[in-house]
Amino acid sequence: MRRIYSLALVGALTTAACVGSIGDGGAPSGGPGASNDDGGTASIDGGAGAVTTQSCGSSYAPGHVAIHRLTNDEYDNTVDDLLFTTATPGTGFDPSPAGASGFSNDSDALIISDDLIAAYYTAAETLAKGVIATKGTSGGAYSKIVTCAPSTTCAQTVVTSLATRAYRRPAAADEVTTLMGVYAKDTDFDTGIQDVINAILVNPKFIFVTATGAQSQTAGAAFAIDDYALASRLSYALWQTMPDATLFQLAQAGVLHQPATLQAQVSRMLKDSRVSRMLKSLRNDWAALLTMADPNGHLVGLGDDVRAAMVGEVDAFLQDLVTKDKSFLQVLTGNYAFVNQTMATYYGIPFTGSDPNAYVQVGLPVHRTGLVTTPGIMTGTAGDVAYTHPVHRGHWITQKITCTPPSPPPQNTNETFTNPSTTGESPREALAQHTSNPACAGCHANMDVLGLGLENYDMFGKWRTTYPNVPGTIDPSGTLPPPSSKPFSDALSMYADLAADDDTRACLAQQIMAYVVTRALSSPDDQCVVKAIGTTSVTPTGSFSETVSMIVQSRQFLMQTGEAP
Amino acid sequence: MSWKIQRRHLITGAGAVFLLPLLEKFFPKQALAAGNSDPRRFVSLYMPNGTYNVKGDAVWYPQNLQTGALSASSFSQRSVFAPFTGEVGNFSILMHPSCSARDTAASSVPDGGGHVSAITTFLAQAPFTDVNSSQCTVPGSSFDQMVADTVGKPNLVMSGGCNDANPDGIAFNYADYVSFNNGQPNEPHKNPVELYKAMFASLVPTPMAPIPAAARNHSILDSSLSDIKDLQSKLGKTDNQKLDAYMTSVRNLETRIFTPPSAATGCKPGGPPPETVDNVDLDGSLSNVYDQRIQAFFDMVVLAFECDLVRSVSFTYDGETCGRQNNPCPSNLVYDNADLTGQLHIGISHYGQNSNGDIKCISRDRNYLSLFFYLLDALKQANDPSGSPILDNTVVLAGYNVTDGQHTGNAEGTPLIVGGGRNFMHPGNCFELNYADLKDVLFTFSTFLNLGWSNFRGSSNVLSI
Repeated sequence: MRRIYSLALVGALTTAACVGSIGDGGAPSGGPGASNDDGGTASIDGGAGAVTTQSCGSSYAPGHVAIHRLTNDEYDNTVDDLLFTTATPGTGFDPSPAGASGFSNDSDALIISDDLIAAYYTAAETLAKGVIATKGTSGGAYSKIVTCAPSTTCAQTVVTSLATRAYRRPAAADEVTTLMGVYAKDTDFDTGIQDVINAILVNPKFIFVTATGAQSQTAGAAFAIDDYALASRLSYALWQTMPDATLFQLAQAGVLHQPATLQAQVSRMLKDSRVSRMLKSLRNDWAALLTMADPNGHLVGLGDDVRAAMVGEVDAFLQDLVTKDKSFLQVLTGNYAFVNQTMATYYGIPFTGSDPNAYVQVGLPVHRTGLVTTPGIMTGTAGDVAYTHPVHRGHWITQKITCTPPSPPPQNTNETFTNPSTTGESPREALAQHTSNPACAGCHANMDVLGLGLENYDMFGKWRTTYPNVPGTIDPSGTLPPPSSKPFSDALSMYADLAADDDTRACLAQQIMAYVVTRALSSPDDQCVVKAIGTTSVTPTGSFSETVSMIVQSRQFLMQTGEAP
Repeated sequence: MSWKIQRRHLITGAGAVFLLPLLEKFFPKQALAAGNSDPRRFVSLYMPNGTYNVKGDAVWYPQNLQTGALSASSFSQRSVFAPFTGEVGNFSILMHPSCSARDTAASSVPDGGGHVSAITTFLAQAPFTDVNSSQCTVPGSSFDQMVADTVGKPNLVMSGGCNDANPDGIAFNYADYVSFNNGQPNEPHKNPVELYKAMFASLVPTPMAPIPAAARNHSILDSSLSDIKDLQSKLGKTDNQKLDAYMTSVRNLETRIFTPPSAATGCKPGGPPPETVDNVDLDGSLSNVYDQRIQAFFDMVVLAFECDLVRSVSFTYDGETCGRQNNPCPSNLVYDNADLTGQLHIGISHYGQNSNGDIKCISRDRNYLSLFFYLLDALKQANDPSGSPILDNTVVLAGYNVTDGQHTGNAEGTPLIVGGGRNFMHPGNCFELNYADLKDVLFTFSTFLNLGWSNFRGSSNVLSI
């Protein structure tokens, strides 16, 4: 049966007529034999007026997302939903560093180690025991999982249900048989169920989120992932957990892939409190606050209460952006801020709220714009607690705002940057050698000017006009790197110029998309898609839901490129 | 096995040259243990500070310079080997070696009384190129590094630690210049605990919480492994690599769960060396734990061999002019009641300028030899996969390479001993090298180690030892 997917990235999302034109043929999409556009049972086709189709062609490559080992947070959230617990064993697992995408949910970077496997087995043992321990308690996990009188038939029912939820798609008969084999090794019902839970939690089909299809092993073949895989991608992207009942039901009905359904689900999920997990990743990985947000951490010279308040301000900004469905461009241009009592004092503005710990929206403090000049991000990117490193901040901008990161420095590069207060030399003077030395200029010409533009913010984001013990006032002016090459006078004009640049908007879309699709976006087709999404939705009039919806309706999200076995 | 000897040795050592082919007859190849797949290794122990081995009183050579099989009667009570007659089957004495690279180096530039040329050429076997700068370099790599490069494993370089900031007016601490990699000296490890962490910390199993269910019900593991294969049949190469890693880790976990703790495996890092040697003894002020420090290093050599982490090792006992106090010398090693109290390393070595310098030097050398035999005994207790003692697959070279007057004044010859290697050498003998070059000795070792080299520093002479 032929089915047509629409990837009308803008038209489908903004015009009812376009949405209505999308044909789905009424076919269920789940299970093997999912659609493909390379000679399979269906085809992918751009709808009328689809920006991506116009800009990137009708069959741009979706790219390959590696099988995705659950992040530690995803593991915790998933076992909680699966087993009705509030346990957080993943907090004890070895953390995963951010991958090439810039995010710690990067599928390529989520590796397996002996220690992690051992930790999985230990956690599985504890979790499975915990379920059985709730037997007899009202509303306990046991009563939600074992819904029938103990018997082999009941065990089969429990096993099938658990495996289906854990594997995030209907369990195959042979999978249930395998798990019943685990059950049968034990002599009593509860021990058997406990061991089945144990086996499921260490099973690769639980630990890895996969998207397979008939063309998984065909190199270069683009194929549509089935609705169950789509539900998982969507759920882990926005909630960092397994699909909920609604997504399961839509996948089972074979309608989740339909643009209107996807649109509705994105809208529903962005309104759910679980989206805060996604925002936490943006805060930690995009806004570079992972270290600052560590509740056990300390920064010399900065009180823990202020540090926590800085992080809270960023959280409040992002939460507001999603709740009120603002454009992600607001991180550069927002003319408002969020303060609690501590941050109001830090900014030197009155606090108008009633709860000193709650964040309230206020007008933009002087010398600030959006999220990118908040004390939190300025501290997280300063590179030191004694003085600022303009190269660090410049590097962050090239990674997260302009998507023009430099190549790694050559080996034996002297990265020492001395406190200007001890040399009497301004950072601009100290960094001049970078641009005068041809070996350094290629990269530093771009990074340094951006970092120097932020020198009015000290290492903890406080406004300043001079350096201690350095004559003269700080000069934050500069010229944006090509192709923009616009001159700017200070941080605010620099960010204003960047915000007006389509490449910046594409980069901001790329940041969201890299997180959602869990991989770096480096191919020409990837770049084409982020440009289309950025220039359409990361605009003064765009919205966050529009950006996310366009991402999840791209071939990068709906499809997969096979690779040779 | 063939043997060759350079022409000049035929001329200068005609009296003894015929001994080598005779030895070949004494040790037909079939007398050696059959070859096996066990790894073969090389260890060098260098004594940089001077030894006592003068003509007529060559305490490092057997009585009357007797060649052939060693026995307890080979050594007088004055011999440095007298306390170790139980070890005679484990090592051989190589009498009268020469070292042309050393002699060339010593004749070209000032070299700290012969020490720089001696130490830097011991394993490099090439004259240094510059001794007047802040360091010296040699062309290429030293023997130990070449062994490491050939077998594709790291080279383990260690030192007792004691040195001097400006020994003999030389601008660099030449005690650290035994082992070279592409001309540059290999920085030796001097802290046993840090070395342990660097080498073995990753091998020490992390204490694992018990997982009795997986132990009780093996099908938990089996179901996981079978589903890996199911997934792999549906995925491409890079995804399958990740699943391979998963499978390997599950298999490793399975081993940890089901392998009885008592099962013997060769590679079993225990704990790190004691905290008392968690330091670097640059000035000799920690002499009270010197033996303990060296034994800790040697314990790690054995462990590294058991784990097959390295197959070449270089160790230097100390720097030449360091402030090592030798009074902790064990009493059974003290010769003729020599009083080592307060005796510095350099004072003893320059025995000609020291009251009772000879007996002090003999006592101190015995202390060094006790550590040499400590290593040999430890290697003898450890086994290779075939069951052969590791010692029998290992060449342990120990020696000193200075010929100047104050240290080996009127010297009979520099001391050179070699332990182990029973599977391919003939330990328990004294061999007359008749001034064969040290590079010949090292090339011979390379053949024992099956390295496949055509020559070493131009030498392709194989000695029968």
